[in-house]
Amino acid sequence: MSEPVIATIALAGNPNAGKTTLFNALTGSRQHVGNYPGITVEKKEGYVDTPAGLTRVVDLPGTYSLTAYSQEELVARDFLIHERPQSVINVLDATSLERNLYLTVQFLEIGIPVTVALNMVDALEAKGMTIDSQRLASLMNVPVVRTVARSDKGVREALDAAMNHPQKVWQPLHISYGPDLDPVLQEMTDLIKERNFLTQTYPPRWLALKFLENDLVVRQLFEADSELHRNMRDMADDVARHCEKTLKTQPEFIVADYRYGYIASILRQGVLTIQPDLQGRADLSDKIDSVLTHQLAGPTIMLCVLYGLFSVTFAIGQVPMGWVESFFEWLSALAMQMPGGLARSLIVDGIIAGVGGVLGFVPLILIMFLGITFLEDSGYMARMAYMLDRVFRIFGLHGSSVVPFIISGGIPGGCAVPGVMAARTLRSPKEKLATLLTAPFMVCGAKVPVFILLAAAFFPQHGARVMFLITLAGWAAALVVAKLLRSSVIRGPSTPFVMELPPYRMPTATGMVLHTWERGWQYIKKAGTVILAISILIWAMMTFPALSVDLAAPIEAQIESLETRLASEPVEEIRLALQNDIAELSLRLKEETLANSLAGRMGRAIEPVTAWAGFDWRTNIALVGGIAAKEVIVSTLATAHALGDDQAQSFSERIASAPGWNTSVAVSLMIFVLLYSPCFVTVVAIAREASWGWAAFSVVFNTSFAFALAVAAYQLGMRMGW
Amino acid sequence: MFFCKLKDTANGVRTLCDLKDGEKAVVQCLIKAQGCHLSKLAAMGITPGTQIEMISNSSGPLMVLVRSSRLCLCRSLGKSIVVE
Repeated sequence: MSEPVIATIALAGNPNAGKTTLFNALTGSRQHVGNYPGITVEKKEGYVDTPAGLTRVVDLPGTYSLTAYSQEELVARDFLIHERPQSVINVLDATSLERNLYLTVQFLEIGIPVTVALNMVDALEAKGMTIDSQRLASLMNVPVVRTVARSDKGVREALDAAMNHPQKVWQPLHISYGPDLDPVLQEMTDLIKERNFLTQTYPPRWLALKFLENDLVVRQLFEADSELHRNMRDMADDVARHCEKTLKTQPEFIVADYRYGYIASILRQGVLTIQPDLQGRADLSDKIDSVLTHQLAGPTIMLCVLYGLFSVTFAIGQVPMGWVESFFEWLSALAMQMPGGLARSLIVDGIIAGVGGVLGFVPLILIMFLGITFLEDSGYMARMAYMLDRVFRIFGLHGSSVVPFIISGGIPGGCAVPGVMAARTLRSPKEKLATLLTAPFMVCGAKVPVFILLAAAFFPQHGARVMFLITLAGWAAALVVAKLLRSSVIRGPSTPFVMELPPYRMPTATGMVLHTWERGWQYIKKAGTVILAISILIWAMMTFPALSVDLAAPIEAQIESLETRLASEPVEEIRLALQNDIAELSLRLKEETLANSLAGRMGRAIEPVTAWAGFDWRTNIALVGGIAAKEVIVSTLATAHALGDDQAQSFSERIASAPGWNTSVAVSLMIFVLLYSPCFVTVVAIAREASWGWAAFSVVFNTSFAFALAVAAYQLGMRMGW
Repeated sequence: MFFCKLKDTANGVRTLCDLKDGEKAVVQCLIKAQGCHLSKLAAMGITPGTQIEMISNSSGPLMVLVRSSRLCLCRSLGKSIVVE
């Protein structure tokens, strides 16, 4: 960014309030998605040109509150306090004003200049509500802008209001927390001011309030000053005991109660009017829900939706996938023009075959992501979690385990790394552990190509059905193993959960495209970096050490003599036979070279064991590489078979006709790939969320479990003569 | 005002789980069981005095309407919300 940035504006609000839609409307494609350092919470920022200059807009994670109970809430409040943006635009769902203002009050208590974007005002009328936004503005003393972010209404005005906010300095709002808390709050605030404890960073009363609310992060801050900490703690303990005895409650709930009281007192002064005659009428979301979450119809529809998603993806995806494939074939034909040797082999067999093998699936993955984004943005994903909770309880998991499962690939195309990290929201350590260990069974985006490839090769007419069955198998394995774990190694009672079901909404086109592109781009980026590096490494392992001269020389000599004969042979039939012999010999040479290489030796060493499941040594190379990153499986298979055969044939056809491959092998391989050890990055993530012991457990347990099932499937398949 | 003791709820007190589809009630108090989850309830708008409407109460999680937003919560939390 060459132009200097004149201001930073933060966007904040409840999940589903339309924050991201507003962000997209403001920044368009000038946005960047990353992660906050060390954690998985997404960090979105973008730039907007304003008459005054370039403005940075940061989309904070959606939260209901600013406690220390979740990563998202911590990130949001730390950003506001430490980075001190000029102003925060608080996006509110106008149809749920009371609940949304709970967060607004907390921003005001920090003291940052707040601009309220009253979003989705177009939906108010249907709900029989009216909001007097001017009155709200004057009562809360903040600018209020009415917006409909999805149709771009009021978006610019909201930004202008935030940029020209009348309040230039931080002014924390003081609301009364009643006769029990107010005196002690005042005392604590005075104490903090007296010691001048962090007053440059935090508003003193806010610190005191958080201390009373038993906020662990704030309490930890105070450990820097042990005397102050002791005093504060004694005061907090006293008032907590008093509240417990006289009111049967705790300070943190009194605080929540008074905040709602403050909000109610504002809304009652003519801000919110509800027409009672319209209130009772069910809105569209209710009507949709009565069908989509119906006890019997709901789950049936859910399965149909998922099956439909696959069918459509495969039907549409085939075409662009063909284009990408032919592009790489053309590229590799072009590279074949280079003089033979190691360099050409590296480019054709290593890089193009490896990276091309992965990139070939980009169109399919983009289409699948588009579908998933639609399910998420429309609000259906939350209903899936709601419906699945019933099932999950049976297996000792949690309603919220659905989210890590779905992110990991419960709908194919996810990734176990963010999935495992999403399990962090589960409070109960036991359910969290069970979720962590079973989420990698899902069909992540990197496994998808393996299944597509094998399905195309062995079940050419049934791609979608195979994919669907594998997805179900992933779920079944995850649930069964979770149940096993929860009734053996990690036993314990279940933890309660609560979540919001957002109203159904038609997702915006921009939002869908941007969101899909973000995910797709991450996949492409990985292919260009990690996968490229691993492809080259594996190519090297498959090429070196070169075949020794005494082994290679006789074959090479034979080829040479045949070639000289070919050059002078006039009869067409003999020429053809000679050409065949040459092809066969060069194939043998390549086979010998591969078998002699480091990877080949490793693959061969474990072949006696893997043969039970029908895997030959080439597959072994791919599977071992797959522990580094699952994308490598397809690329290594591609490389291994490219090294052995350079006829212009599509990869899946080549696999289907390769010796040692049949339907049983394909099924056994699919099962193994679905279930075996999580990839390296996931293992690290599990170690970070649980421990290295559990991470090691997941590698060993998953691989043995997968192998046992693969052997069973292969042996059964062979007996049945598939 | 916020919590009620378990013995108060022993006989005949109705909890959220006892509401039928479409029935409305007012939250009276919460039964203290798991502290941090109750603060999540507060952030989602379930505090004493709040009107709550049951949308769907079948064998699985409960679906309710609170402060004009739709929430889904598990039955064990529903049991800790006393209504009248």
